[in-house]
Amino acid sequence: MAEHEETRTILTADIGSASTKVALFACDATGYSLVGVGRAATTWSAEGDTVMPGLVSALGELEAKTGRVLVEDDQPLLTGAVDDRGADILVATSSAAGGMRLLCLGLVRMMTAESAERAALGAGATVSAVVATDDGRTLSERLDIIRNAEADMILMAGGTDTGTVEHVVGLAEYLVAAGPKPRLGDGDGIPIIFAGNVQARQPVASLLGSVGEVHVVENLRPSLEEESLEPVRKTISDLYLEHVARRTPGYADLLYHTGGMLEPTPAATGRILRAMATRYGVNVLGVDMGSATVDVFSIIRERYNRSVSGDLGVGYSASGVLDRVGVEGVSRWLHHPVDRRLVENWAINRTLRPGTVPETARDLDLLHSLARESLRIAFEEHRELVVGLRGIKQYRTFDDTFEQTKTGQPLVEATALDVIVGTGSILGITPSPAEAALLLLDGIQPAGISRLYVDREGLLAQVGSVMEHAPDLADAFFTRWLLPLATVVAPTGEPWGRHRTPIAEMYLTAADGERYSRLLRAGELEVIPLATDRTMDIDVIPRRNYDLGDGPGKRVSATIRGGEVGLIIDARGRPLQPSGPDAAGPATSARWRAAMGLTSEEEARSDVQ
Amino acid sequence: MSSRGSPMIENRRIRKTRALRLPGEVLVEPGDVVAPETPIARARLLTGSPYVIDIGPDLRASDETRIEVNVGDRLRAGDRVARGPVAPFEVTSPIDGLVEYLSRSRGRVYLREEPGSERARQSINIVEALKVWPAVAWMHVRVREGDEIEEGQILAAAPGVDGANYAYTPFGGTVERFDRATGSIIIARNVEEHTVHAQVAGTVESLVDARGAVVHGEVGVMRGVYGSGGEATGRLKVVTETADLAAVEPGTVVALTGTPTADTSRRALDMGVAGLVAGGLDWRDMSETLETDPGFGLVLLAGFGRRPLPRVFVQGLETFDGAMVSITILRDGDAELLFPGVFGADIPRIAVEPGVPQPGDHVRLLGVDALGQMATVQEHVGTVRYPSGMLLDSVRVRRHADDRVETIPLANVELCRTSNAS
Repeated sequence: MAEHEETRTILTADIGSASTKVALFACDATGYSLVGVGRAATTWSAEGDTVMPGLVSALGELEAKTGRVLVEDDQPLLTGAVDDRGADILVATSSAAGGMRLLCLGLVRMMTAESAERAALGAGATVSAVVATDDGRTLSERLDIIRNAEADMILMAGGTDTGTVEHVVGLAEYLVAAGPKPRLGDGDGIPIIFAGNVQARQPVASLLGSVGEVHVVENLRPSLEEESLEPVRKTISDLYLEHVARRTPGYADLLYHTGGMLEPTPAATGRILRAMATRYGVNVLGVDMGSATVDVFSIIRERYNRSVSGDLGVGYSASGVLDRVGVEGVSRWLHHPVDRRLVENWAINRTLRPGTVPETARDLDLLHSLARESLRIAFEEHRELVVGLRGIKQYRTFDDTFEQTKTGQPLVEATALDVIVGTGSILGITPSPAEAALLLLDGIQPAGISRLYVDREGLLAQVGSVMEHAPDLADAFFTRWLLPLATVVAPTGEPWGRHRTPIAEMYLTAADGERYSRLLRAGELEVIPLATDRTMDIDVIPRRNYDLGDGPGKRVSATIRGGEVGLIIDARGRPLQPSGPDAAGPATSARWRAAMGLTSEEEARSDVQ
Repeated sequence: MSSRGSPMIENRRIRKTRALRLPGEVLVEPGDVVAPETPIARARLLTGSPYVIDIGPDLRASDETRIEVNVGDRLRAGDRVARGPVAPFEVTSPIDGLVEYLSRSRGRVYLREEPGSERARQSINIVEALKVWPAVAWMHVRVREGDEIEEGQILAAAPGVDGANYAYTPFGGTVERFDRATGSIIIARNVEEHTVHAQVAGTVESLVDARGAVVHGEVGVMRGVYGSGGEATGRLKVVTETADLAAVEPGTVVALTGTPTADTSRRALDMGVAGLVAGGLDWRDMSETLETDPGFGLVLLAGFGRRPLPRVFVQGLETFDGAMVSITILRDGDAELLFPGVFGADIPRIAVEPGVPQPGDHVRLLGVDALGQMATVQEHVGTVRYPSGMLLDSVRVRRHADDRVETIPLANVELCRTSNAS
């Protein structure tokens, strides 16, 4: 720790596929402070451009903002912080150059292969393909997929410890036949992590010796009832520097300047979100809205998971979102009427030019509509991935006899989200906190009581990456730089009441003892101002059929905190119907925006006309 | 798809590898002088490779079954692949090919056919697989003449001693007929012809093993922001309006300088045009055209939406009006136009580069309305609030096309450097 105590000025960098962000933190007797942030376009390209010009440009912007010299001879100045020059260390995260890509293999798609996918994603990797013996593909298709996976590592699961060895060996034979090569480097062996049936270790390792270096790890499904992901995740992280970072063209200088303190961005983001869940004893959902992907992280009842939706995102993947949901899917959120051809052209132009910013209200409307759909699908996909183990034995008591519960149920319920943290440039550049809050609310559609935060400066991964060197920095981030937007109270119910039907009574007691009440009506969205440093006790009594997380009709009491927006009462029902039967076209979303104070009712009406 | 750090217009000495995806016949020799339209290599590909030999059903795979080949072995038709525990039981290779995969645990072998050894018609004998007499095999056939079938599809099934026996097709194609005398199903395999052309004028430097050649030449290059469809080579015709398409020859590569209409790409396709270069087209028009003919070459030099060609490209295109040009689609979705000679001194090299534009610098505009247009930076104006509500660091620019002066966010311009084309 002595070494850490001497670290007083820290530079962090997050090199994304579209932009490179840097931040400078300084420590004095009062603790850490954020000196400034900078941003520039990422300069890495497959044609041989390195990440350094983009990093130096971002540092140049930071230098201009702070007056501190951070660049000398086109290199980061890391000779030790002296007065207003340099920094002590540089710690970096990266998701450029394709990030860390894993090919996952398992015997059964919904069991061992799914566990392998969860392990890889949790370690911060992108899964380039999942191959299983029951995946419905022909053998030649599987071989082609393995051969063309362009992976940095292979994670092979398969079989419980008491299962047959033969099938696991058969899976290894795919790899022998396909002869996959690592995406980076000179074509030497690809690292293979084997986390399957313990009895198959010897034959599998012996078969795969010709394909690459085999790392045997604890079985991630020792039995149907158990899943053990952490040992695999640790091995993946250990292999990252050697097999990915060192082999990525254009990363040599970055590794030199960071002294090897480089990791995949999602690994660092996951670390800080887990720290938040532990510190506050809450369930946390994190969403990173990237240009090419949307990463969703959840820590629900201390269980950590991550998913990546590779064809969603608000930049490179804009046209991918349109492919998934069609023009109608995006248009239903718009509050400006827009021709469908314009929506299509706009989305594909954004794919071509992912770094552009909206100049007009219509552009912003299109961008946020796309973001809402990206978030909605990414969260759905996260729920589909994070499920209870499938196929396990369920022991039932006499009382359970008549309950037909299936295995493989989603573990991330909309009512379990105590805290939602949004990050990504689109959330950082929203014109107002209310705009960011509504975007998160519409995309995730939480139910019950949740608290919304936005990482406006894009520091989440950067603070996560440096936590080991500066543990106090995380606390400073949670309390000072992570922007609290609002607390949301969102009842759900089935069937949902007609518009303006009373669905719950809410009693509010302010810190000074003042009490008042509200009647919650179906379909309404309301904001009650409540400053960030204020708390309020609430009692919500839902009517029969309506639920705030504790069951239909069950009273819920809580002490809530305010935020930049305040307290949001979201009685719009779930799932949201932005252009539902009661209002054709843009009317509904325009009304919701007006309720959030984003446009006046008159503007909303004129938009519709 | 980013064009960051990449040239928009330049002269380039290139070594271009022109090769088939799979082996075929190479039509040139090192030292040959080639034109863009010269064929370099040709292949006649039959679908259905690799060929699967499922040893299990034939040999009743057991510990005593011996697979006698290894991954990487080259086999001739008739070579033994595996031998069963008792003398008559063995499996031989039906084709000349390479062992691509084998599973001793499952009793399966995959062979990839040697190029040139494929037969357009292949006979699948179902009698052995079903373990029935040829005379009654017809009762178990599940496909009919004329059926289109896919690799792995069941051709016939019959009850066996330990369950059903199945005969699968190892490749896709069309069922031509069933031979009742022998119990064989004749399948006509799908055939695809592939030819690669030189695309550039130059000299053949070396050959790529049975697939093509490396052509060395000096060319003018124009890089688009988007390309799709197939590679196209044809005589360039520069036109100003969609109506001018009525007069172009089939096989031409058309460059439309004016604003396209809704039917531009469809009319170009109807006229037999090989490729179309435009400022921008509606995504819907483009995708409908490519659905009709996936091989139609399309290059957009500004972006999507009906947009005229940015003026910066027009002069370069006019230089080569009437010459053979090639459209090449790059891996990341960008496209390049390759010209048969170099641009003259009057056409500068223009490249997009990283960096913050300064007054006097040329920039390309990336905002929705002016996408692809060139402008000159007049001054940095600091932070400006836009109708979107966003506060953005901005510059004032003068557009080259119409001298219009406007304020643009810095994030919505890209710096372009100009220099001598050579």
